[in-house]
Amino acid sequence: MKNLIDQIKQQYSRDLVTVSDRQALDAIRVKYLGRKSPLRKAFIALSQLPLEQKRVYGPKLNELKLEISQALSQKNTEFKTKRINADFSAIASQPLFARRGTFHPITQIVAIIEDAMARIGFESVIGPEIETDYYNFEALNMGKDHPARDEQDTFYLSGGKILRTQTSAVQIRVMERRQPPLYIISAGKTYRRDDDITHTPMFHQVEGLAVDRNITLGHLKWTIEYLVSKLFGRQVTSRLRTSYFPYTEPSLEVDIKCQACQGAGCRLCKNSGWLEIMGAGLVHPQVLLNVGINPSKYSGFAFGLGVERIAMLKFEIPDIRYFYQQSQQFLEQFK
Amino acid sequence: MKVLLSELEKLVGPLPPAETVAKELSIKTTEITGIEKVGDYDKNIIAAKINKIWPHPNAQALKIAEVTSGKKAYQIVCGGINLDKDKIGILALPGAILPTEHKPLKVTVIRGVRSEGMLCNAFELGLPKTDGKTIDYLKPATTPGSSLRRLVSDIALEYEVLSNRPDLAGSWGIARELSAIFRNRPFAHKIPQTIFQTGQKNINIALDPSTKTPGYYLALINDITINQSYFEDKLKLNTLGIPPINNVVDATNLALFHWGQPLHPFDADKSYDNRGNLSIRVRNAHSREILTIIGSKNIRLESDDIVIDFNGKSVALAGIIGGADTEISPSTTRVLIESANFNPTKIRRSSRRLGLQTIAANRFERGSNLQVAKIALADTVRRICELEPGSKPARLYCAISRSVKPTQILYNRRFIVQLANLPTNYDPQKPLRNLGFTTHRLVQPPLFRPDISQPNDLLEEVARIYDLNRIKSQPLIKSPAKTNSENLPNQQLAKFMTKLGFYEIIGYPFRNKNDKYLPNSDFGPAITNPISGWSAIAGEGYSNLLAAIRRNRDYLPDCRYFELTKRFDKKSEIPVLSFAVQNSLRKPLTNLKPVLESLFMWLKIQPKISYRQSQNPAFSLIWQINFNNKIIGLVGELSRSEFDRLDLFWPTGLVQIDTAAITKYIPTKQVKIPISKSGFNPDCLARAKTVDIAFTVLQSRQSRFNVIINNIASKKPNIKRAIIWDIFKKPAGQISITVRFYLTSTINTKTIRNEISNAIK
Repeated sequence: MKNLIDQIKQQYSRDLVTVSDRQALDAIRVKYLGRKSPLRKAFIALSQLPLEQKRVYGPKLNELKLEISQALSQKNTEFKTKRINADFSAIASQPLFARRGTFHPITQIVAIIEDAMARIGFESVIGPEIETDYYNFEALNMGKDHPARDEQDTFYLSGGKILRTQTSAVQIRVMERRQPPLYIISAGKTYRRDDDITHTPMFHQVEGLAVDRNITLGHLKWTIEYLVSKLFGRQVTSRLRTSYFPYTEPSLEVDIKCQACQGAGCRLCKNSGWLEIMGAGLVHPQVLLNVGINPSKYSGFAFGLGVERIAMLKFEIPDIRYFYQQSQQFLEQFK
Repeated sequence: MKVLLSELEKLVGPLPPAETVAKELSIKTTEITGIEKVGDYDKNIIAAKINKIWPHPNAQALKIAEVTSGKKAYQIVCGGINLDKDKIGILALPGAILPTEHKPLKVTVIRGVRSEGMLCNAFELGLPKTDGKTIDYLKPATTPGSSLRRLVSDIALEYEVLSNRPDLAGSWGIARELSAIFRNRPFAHKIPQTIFQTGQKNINIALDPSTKTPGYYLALINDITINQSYFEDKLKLNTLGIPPINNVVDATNLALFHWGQPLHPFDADKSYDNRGNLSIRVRNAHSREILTIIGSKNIRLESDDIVIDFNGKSVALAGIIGGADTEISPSTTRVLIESANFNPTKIRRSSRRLGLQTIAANRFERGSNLQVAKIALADTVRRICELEPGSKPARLYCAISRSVKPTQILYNRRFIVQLANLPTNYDPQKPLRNLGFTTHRLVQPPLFRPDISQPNDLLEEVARIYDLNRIKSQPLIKSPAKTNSENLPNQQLAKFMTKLGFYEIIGYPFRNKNDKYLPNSDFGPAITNPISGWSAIAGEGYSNLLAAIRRNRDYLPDCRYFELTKRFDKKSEIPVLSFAVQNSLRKPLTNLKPVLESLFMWLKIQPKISYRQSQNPAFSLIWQINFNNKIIGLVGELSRSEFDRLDLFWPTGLVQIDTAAITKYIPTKQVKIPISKSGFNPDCLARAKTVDIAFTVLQSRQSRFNVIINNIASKKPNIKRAIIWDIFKKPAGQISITVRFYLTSTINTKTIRNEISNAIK
């Protein structure tokens, strides 16, 4: 009897391993638990045995029967779930209610700018967000000791790379790849190590660059006026103000007349009557040299603007942090 | 930084109104961020000379003074401990309203003695950072009787010093600009000479080369009395945001705002050794050296910091803050004033590391000039000695390690005029000369302008003085860019998703290890200098979607969000489109499936979606999207334990697709949502709009009416179904039938109402 039990055990476990589908599993169930199964035969044989042996082998046989049935049912559920899971097409389709979602206000502003600039021949390019020190700083005329390189302002990653602090890094990548004339615009996320009421550690910038023969301050001024009119309408007055950026010379900043107070002075414009919207300038000759463009032959202008700031002014959003709080209530306003 | 208009007028002569000055400076030099009125006191507060002082008969702490305005004498009861004969005090007459009071002052009787006004101190005149026990005096040259407002009223202009223009930090720098802007001539202001004595030197100065210190000046003043400053100076300092301390410290602080050069006074009595010698060394600090700074605070230095060493002991942190050991005290009789240039980078690093961002450090960080250091020192010594008649300028010591050579730039008129788009007859030499440049064939900028080094710098100077706003615009119209805009695929994807009712979100890629709401797999490369607990950037692109669902519980159970973002691994950044869904059936995958199918139909690709045995316990089910023998994305449903842990309430489905793999398949034309094979058509499966219209019909014509309605419903494309909703009887054989029309989502209910009414007629 002992041999018989061991034999059944071995045989069934060997068979169970080879089972690949539910039909085979059914066959095994019939084979081991059916009327003609060796287990059934063993039970019949058990009834012929003397009482002492019955007491020894009875529970063992029952145990084996239970074991086999449990293993089979487990295998069965496995097949069941596998069948559902494996087949994505077996999932029922339940269409969603039709409605219109919204673009994030940042995406909307970027689209306006890209569209406006495409009309005057500026091609949109994108660049990586993880940058090397060279593209983010050095090539942009920010030497090793420039204050912007301090740990205070830049996120450093393990492996020595950084999260780009400005989209100007894309300028360099494009100028290295291509020769002038270049008319490009690049929008994207930028990162600074700042997290307070008026600063978010991530924000969006749009960078424009034109490099060609005889590009002058007059061209830059016209482009700025064009872009401002596309963003805020023709009636908005803008002014240029001298400023400083390491990668442009001369550098300037663009203000628009405060829309809330029409220049009279209010909280929004901090009583100055003007709101700063972008920085610009003629490309620094050193930057051109860094990428192998001859500054005596070519000149260029670049401008950069903070998308959040434009969106805040255009949509009258009081706090920069609303952009990143993912509130549907907030997003629904921009339909 | 602030500058006072009166100081500027002393240097350049009369100026236009403050608003005009501010506007011109903003455009041409640096932005003026604020205009503030200073010292606008009541006209009944005047300067008065103290003639006589005698004790109060009934109070020990009080005195009685007779003061005169020149025309009339007043008897004043006063508690000031420093009441002094022949000095010019500030007298508030009856009727005057002090800035700290709301009611006018009255003639009062104090302990039986009549007081016809009040001798004021700075605190009573609205200066916060002064003690209230003493009274304040005006400078000795003041005419008694003049109103205080006339003497001290001023306008302060607040501005930012651009990092390339250290020369603008101080009235002197702004005055130079104003001369070029308003006077159209170079700035010329003569400073009286300070005469130092000559003779035996008992101080020697050494500059360690490793400190990269360009130069160090030191002046000695003997026989000085330490007093409080005159009210005029206190008011100035208060406006500039510095608390008044004593006459010497205040004079050095005022010099900083006048010259832009930080000066530091040492108590000479505490500095010399036993033999009366002083050996000064500007050296690097020893590692872990302890220095006690002003305010008796100990700081631990590193070998990169620079210290001023007097006879082997460090007494100050160079360019940042002085030490407590040599601080000026009321008993000081000899003062050493330091005026130096330090290495900007070293100063910046030290001040940031130690958290000591003082005004001096801020100034030295931007680079300074030795010539200015010397002039500022001599001028400040002269001013101190003028105000304290007993004191004498004794000696000037200096150590210079390297002198700055002037830069020379080739002058090219055509280059400047052409690039700045100036009128052809414009002469760029004029504004350059007005700014202090020497111009011939070579242009030489003044020494205090280290930012000028090449022709483009000259162009900037000329253009800004000419006025950038006067420059003529030149149109720049190119042919429109080709449609290969690299951002277009993203915009198209966003359009596709919004058409399916998804809201676009944008979130930070920063991940906080302690954030309990983040999936465990979502940690990419570590940030080495984290803030706000963000120690890594995103390893997956869907965590922000989960945050959005959690944030917008009001919109459950129909949350649909997408984000075009990036996930980061050690080697690269991978742009992804991820979207998430929660639905009322609690089977989000049933909703994601038609979206995915439509997306692939739109892209005209047929990726395989194959089951993946989930290694990640966060997902109960997960498939991978295979395309061109590459895994381009994942579809999954969060497991019960995971959405419970993330506080999401309901089962949530997620999709993440690497956009780089599908970019070239994204159509560039208008986005149209294809109908997926599982029957997803956003229009016909919309939640139907309904409109109920009630008709009054004769009962006999009811069956005819039903036919008409069915006809309308079958012919009009906007109506999907019409059912009789309600019937009730009206008098005279009439019935009222309300019909409910089910409409497609796109139609306006008002329009359809009219259309139905017309059809029935």
